[in-house]
Amino acid sequence: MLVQKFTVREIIFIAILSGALTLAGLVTMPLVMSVTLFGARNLVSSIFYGFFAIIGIMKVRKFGTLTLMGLFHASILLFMAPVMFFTVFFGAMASEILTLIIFRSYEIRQARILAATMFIPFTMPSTLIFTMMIHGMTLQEILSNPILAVLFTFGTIILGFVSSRVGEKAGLELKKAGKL
Amino acid sequence: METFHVKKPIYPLVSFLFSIIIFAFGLFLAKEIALIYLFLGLTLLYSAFGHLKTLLKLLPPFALIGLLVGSGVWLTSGDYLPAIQTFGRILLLAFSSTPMVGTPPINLLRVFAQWGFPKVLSLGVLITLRFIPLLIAEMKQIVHAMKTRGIRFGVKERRTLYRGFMIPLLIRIVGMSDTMAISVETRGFSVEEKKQSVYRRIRFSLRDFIYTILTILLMIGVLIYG
Amino acid sequence: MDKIKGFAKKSSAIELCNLSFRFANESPPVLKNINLTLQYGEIMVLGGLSGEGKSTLVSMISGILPHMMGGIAEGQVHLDGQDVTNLKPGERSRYLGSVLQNAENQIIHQKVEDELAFGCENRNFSPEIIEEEIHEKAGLLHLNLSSQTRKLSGGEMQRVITAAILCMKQRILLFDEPFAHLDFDGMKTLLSLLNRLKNKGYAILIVEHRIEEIFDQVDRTAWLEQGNLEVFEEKKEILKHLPVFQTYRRTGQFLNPLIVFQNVTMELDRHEALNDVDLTLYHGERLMILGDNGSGKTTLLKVMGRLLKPTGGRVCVKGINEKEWFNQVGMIFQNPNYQLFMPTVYEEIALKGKGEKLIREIIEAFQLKELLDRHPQSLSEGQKRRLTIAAVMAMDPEIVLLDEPTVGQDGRGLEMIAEYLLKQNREKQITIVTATHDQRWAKSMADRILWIKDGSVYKVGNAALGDNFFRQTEKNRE
Repeated sequence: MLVQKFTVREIIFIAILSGALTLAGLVTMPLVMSVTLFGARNLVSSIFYGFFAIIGIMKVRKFGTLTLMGLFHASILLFMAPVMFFTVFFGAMASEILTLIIFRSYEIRQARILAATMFIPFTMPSTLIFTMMIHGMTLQEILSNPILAVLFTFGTIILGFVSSRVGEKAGLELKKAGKL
Repeated sequence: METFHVKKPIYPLVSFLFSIIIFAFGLFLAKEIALIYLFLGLTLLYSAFGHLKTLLKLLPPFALIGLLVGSGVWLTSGDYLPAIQTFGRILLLAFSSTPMVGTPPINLLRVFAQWGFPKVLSLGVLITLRFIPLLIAEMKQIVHAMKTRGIRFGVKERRTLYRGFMIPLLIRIVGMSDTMAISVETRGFSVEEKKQSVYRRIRFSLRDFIYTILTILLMIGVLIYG
Repeated sequence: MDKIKGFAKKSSAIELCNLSFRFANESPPVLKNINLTLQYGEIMVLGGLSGEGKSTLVSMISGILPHMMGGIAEGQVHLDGQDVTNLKPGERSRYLGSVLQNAENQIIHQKVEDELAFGCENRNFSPEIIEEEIHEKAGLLHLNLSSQTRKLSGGEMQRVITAAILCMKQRILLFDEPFAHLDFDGMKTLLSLLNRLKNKGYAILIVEHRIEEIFDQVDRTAWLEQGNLEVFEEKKEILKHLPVFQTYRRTGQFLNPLIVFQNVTMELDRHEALNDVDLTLYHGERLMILGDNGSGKTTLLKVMGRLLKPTGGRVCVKGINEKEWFNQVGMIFQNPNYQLFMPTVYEEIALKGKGEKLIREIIEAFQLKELLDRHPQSLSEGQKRRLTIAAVMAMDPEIVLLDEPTVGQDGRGLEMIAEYLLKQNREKQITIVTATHDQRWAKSMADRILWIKDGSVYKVGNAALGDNFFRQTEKNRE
């Protein structure tokens, strides 16, 4: 079944994990203001986001988990900088939609890894728009060094993959302990 | 976050809507002197509606970031005008966010509940908010606990470091979420339950209407006379 | 809107009929044919050793098991004469209010008022009824409705959760270890409230370890062991199941100072947690730090253990290599989950263990042999605590600092821990410092008592001061 109901227990777990994600995000948030290099901030964020995202998906293997995590995390940003809400929420949703199209289920391991890996890369377009708005730069100005932009993009995906694998390992141990 | 909250917040949906509108409007004016008039007008508006303290608390950190980024722009472009415009845009974030930051999150969630949005989503947001300071305290405890087990912070012990921090943190997250879920369910909360009352209803008042009109008039005024 | 129904006085409040439970088909039963009846206007306390099924029974009554957490259940649960066996926890909450441990992790809202209203909203009470209820219960539990929940103490948070449950108007209340984190004052206050509720016709079931301290205030007692429940005709029969703590008191002087506090002050969150503390810890002594909740016991331990640096004064250390501090000073936290992170019990003990011989000795002493391959997080809370202490003792420390080691621990587990520590103290002269408000531990594990009040040293004396502490606190309440 593609669309499944969430239990209270699942929602609450996702909510608390989103709190951990928010804390990780607060570490990288100031970078969004000061760095204009395309993909630099996303590169740093992907270290943490992939890790927590996959833990959430391993525990709650239902489509909508990542979107909910994005929603809860982004909602906190609503009360700090409302414009930031869209960056995170749409990134989570896009990653989940892609996974849904390709795999149809989180029971497959690759689906979980893909969703967690692509969470931050999918925030890159909106981060780009946000940077253009804040710094008043054009697309050409931000992508003035295309090689660097490509490197950061691939770096974000690779780091997202690595962090989701590390998170998977931690998740498997928790599963062994009967906690996940 | 409570230090930013005002005594009489604006109707939450109005705060949210105008946060976006003011931000977009400000970006439109970013290269014009009219942006300063917008800032002055908003300062007066927020003073009249009890949000001045929130604005004054938000401005310093945003101003600092704006100075840093603006300086970077000045150094790279050699021109002070883009630097000032960048500074202005970052300050715009503070001005546009003020009404939302001044609103207790529970108000927005109550409005959603009144409009029939799933209460479980509001619950999730509240819990995320609530657990941020708790998680910080947990992390501090875990760092202390790691020291008591003789784990030092260093490259040599990075595997134990990772285990010593992440495993207890994740275990605590699972434990806390189970406790919270049990507490919430045993206090009658249910995903399926449609009939739930709202103790303090948030109503759109005359004050909110006046705020809306004044904000629109301010923007029109800035456009025409700026 | 929900109408508040009167409760059926003639039916039993709680009736359990042949209740059994196992976590999975292949696993052994945790509960075996449990039968229990509790009437309105009664308080019953349920005791038992750690891991024997008390939490499982509580979870079955509230519906957490099997409806939320899974498992295989047999038998029936009746609340207020209604068969609720197939009802989920949310539906059972119409009849039963469950007050759980760890109040801090149950609070959702930023204001006390909103927290109290939460359950009432779920039960669809009208705003007028909610207003009435929250004001009444806030008054009963001495709560300020406009307080920020974030700034409340642990005891206050527990009162908030208790009030929130009471606002929901159930007449059957279930308390899961409500006294675990309370000092003597807190216990007496809560017991007084429970008795008042009982006199109003409430039925109250309490699951608790600290039975000796409360049993004369309850009407009936029961004991759960190996999944079998024994409900006693005479309530004092439960005392036969409680192990007697060995008392080992010494006379004589301790001569060699190890840690010296000179005018130590510690400011935390703009509040003086410790104020001008002068103290000397001697080699080989057993120091007991007694005090009410919030008095500064844990802070004092953390400063002693070098986890916190004092904001004023100085702490001098003698005879301990400061570079090896955390290998020579073992600290045991109140919550064992912070200190366990290895994949197996054996690896946990062996992580910083000093030699295979010592590791084996400790495994034996703490009865962990059967659990060596288990993941530490799969153990019960009592087993985790034993493991934490075992892992720290495997470091062969010179000083052991224990923060509330009795919380959630049954008498037998405590006996085991105390026996080992006493042996180490006698044979190896290890120094033991405990922060507690538990009379059982204080009686058997103290050479010297440090009574701390509002962050300052109130009195220092020999073990007899501990008896005074508990007697005086009780007198103040009367």
